[in-house]
Amino acid sequence: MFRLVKYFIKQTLIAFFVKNEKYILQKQIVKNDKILEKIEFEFNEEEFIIFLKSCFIENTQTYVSTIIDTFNQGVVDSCSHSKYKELGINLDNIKILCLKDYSIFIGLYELNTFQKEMKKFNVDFIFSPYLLIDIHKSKTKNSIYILITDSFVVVLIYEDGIKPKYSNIYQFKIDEENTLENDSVDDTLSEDIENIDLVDDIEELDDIEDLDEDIESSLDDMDEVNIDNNENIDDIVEVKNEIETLDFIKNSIKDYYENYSDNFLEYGYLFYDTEISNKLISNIENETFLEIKSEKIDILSAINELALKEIDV
Amino acid sequence: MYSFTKARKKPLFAEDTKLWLIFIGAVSGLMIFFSLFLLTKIYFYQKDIKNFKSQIVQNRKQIIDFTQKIAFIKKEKQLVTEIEVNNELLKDGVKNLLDLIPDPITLTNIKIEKNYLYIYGVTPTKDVYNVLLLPPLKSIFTQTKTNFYQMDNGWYRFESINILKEDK
Repeated sequence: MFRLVKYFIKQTLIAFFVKNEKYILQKQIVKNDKILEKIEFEFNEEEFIIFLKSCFIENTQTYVSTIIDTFNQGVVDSCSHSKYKELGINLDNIKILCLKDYSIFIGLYELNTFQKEMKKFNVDFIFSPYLLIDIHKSKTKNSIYILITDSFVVVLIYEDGIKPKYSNIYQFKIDEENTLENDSVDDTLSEDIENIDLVDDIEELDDIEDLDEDIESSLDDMDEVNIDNNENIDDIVEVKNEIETLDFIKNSIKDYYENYSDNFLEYGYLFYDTEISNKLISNIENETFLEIKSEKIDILSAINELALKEIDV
Repeated sequence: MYSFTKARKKPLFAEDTKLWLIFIGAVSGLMIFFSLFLLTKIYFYQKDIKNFKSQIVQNRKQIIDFTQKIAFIKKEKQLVTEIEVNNELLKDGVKNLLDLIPDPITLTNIKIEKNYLYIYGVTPTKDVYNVLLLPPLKSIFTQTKTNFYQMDNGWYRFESINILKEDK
């Protein structure tokens, strides 16, 4: 019935992820598996909910999809429950998604918590980041695939050319210290303003305009300090993320060689949807002893591609 | 299956679209029903027209038939009238004939055919017959033939055949 309907009715696919408390989303209008329209937006939560409501009113066939980047998920090269037991994974606490040749699992607690968080957006599909690599993969024999985004890094290793053998995910930690520093700068500046406001002997001032000038110059100073501070924080976070990424990849490969396979990796692929430095790529090449082919991918388009496949199932 | 969750059920149409579709469906249904009703009516009217046409043809045939019958009956009536007139004439003729019979002659039998008159009777003498009965018979009929047979008492039994030939 659905296959018949999709030839005549447009479907709206909305893929989104959260970045710095902003909702980055892509809306695709699809008919008979052909993309008729593709638009990207950036909203805050309230705007996003309003936007979704308007989409649902506009088209009942609207599907909302996102990815879950929780640490507690992974890939197993079989769908068999005995394989899970062999690996010491408790089946009661996970949800298994059996694909053609392998399976992806996720912690039930994390999935339920995420679903509760996403309830207000009426999310239909929640995908694993491993699938983003899987749909972009080319060679799959002794190959390592790395996906770097603003909020997480994913490693997926194929050994036999068919199914992934090893998976690992790393979420970048939000640097609370930097956030605190930022807050403290704001507090100091606020105090300055309060100090200006609370001049006791205001009558001693010759002219009230002098006071305004003082306030304006203080505010300008404050802005400059803020901008400089933010730029510095961004640089620090970038460097920190690069170091963490490199460590994570190094540890993942070490883990793979020690616990999963004796075969050496031959090919390396790097997918990214954020700005990454050439230095990071060369560092990864140095650490992995592989020539890394890098490619920028559109995560939102990939999520919508998965959603379309999921609808067709 | 690629997602950890299943999609919520999506209605094919929005609520207001559903209402419109129901309305359009109902109106279309009524129109179809009305069209079918009209088509049925047209079918039955056409059937009636066909029946009436065949009835008209039949009636025309009947009219021709009746006209022929009327013509035939008219002819019959004319014939009956003619017969009646002839009968009347014959009746008068017979009465006149009987009036002609003289007292001495006694008739035993009279047979009348279309152009023939057979008279059987008894006469005292041939002369009585020839003088009293033969002349009037001859004046009426074109040909008269009489045969006499003598009886034991001397009287004569006679048989008279009179023929009336119509003019061509």
